[in-house]
Amino acid sequence: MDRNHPQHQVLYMRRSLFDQGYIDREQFIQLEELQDDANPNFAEEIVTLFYTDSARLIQNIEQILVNKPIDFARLDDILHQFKGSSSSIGAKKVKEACTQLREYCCAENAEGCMRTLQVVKQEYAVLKRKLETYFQMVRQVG
Amino acid sequence: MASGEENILSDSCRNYNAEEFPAGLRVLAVDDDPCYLSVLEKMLRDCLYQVTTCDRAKDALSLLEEDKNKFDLVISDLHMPEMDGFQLLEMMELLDIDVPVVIMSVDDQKEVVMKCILKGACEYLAKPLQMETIKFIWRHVFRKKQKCLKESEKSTESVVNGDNSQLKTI
Repeated sequence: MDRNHPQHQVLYMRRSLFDQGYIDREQFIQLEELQDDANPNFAEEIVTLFYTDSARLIQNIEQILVNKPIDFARLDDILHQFKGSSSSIGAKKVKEACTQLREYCCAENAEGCMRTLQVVKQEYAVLKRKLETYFQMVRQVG
Repeated sequence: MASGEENILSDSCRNYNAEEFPAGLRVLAVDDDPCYLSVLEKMLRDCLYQVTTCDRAKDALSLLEEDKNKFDLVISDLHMPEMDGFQLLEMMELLDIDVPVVIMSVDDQKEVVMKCILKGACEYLAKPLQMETIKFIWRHVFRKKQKCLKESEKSTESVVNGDNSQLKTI
C-alpha cells in the first residue's frame, strides 16, 4: 500500500481507526452503507450530530459533578444517553469510558466519577480529531 | 402471497398496497437521541417503510391517540426523559392502542428485557440495531394481523350457523 497515495491514505487511516479500537468496524461500515446518491455524506452527518450531542452531554455531566450533593440518578441517565449515541457511530473507546464512569456513578463514588470524566473527555477529543481528519481526507479524495 | 394473506393485509392496512408488503409499512420511531434517531430513520426508509419520528414518547403517544390506525408498528427507545419506553407501553395498553411495539436499548440486562416483554413489547432489540433485524420487523405486524383475523373469524362462527359463504367475505 502506497501511503503517499491519497486514496491509500484514506484506507490506511480508516483501518487504523478500527485496528486501534477507536471505532467499531461493523457499525461504521453499516453507517457508510446507508450512504446513497441522495445522502452521499450520511456517515459524516451522523458523526457531526454525535459531536454536538457529546459536547452537550459532557457539559451536563460537568454541571452535575460541580453541584453538591451530586445527582447520581441524573448522571446515570445522561451516561446512558451518551452510551447510546456513542454506539450509533461505533465510538468504542468513548463508550468504554462511559461504562467505567457509570460504574463509579452506581457506586456513588464522586472522586472516581471526576477522574473518569477526564478519561471520557480525552477519548472524545482524540476521536473527534481523528474523525475530522479522516472525513477531510475523504472529501479531498472525492 | 396467498390470497388469504392479502385479505388480512388489505382489510387492516388500507394505506398501502398489500402486494408490495412490507414496503410502505408505517413505522413510528421514538428516540430522544438525535444521532441514533437519524440512523434508525435512514435504515427504516431504506427498507421502504414510511417513517414518522418523535424525540419524545409523549409526542408519539399523542399521535397514536389521535389515530391508532395511522401506524402499523412502533419502535421505541427504552430510556428517555419525561416518559420512557415502559410508560409508553403502559399508556398504550390503558388507551387500548394495540399497535405492536418493539423496544430497543443499549441496556441488555435480562431483567430489563423480561420486564419489557411482560409490559407488552413484542420484541426487545439491543442498540445499535443491525439492518438485517430491521428488515424483518414487519413480521410482528403480520403476526398481529393474522391473530386479529383468527379472532374475528371465531366470533363470526359463533354467530353464523355453519354458513360458509358468510365466512368468505371477511
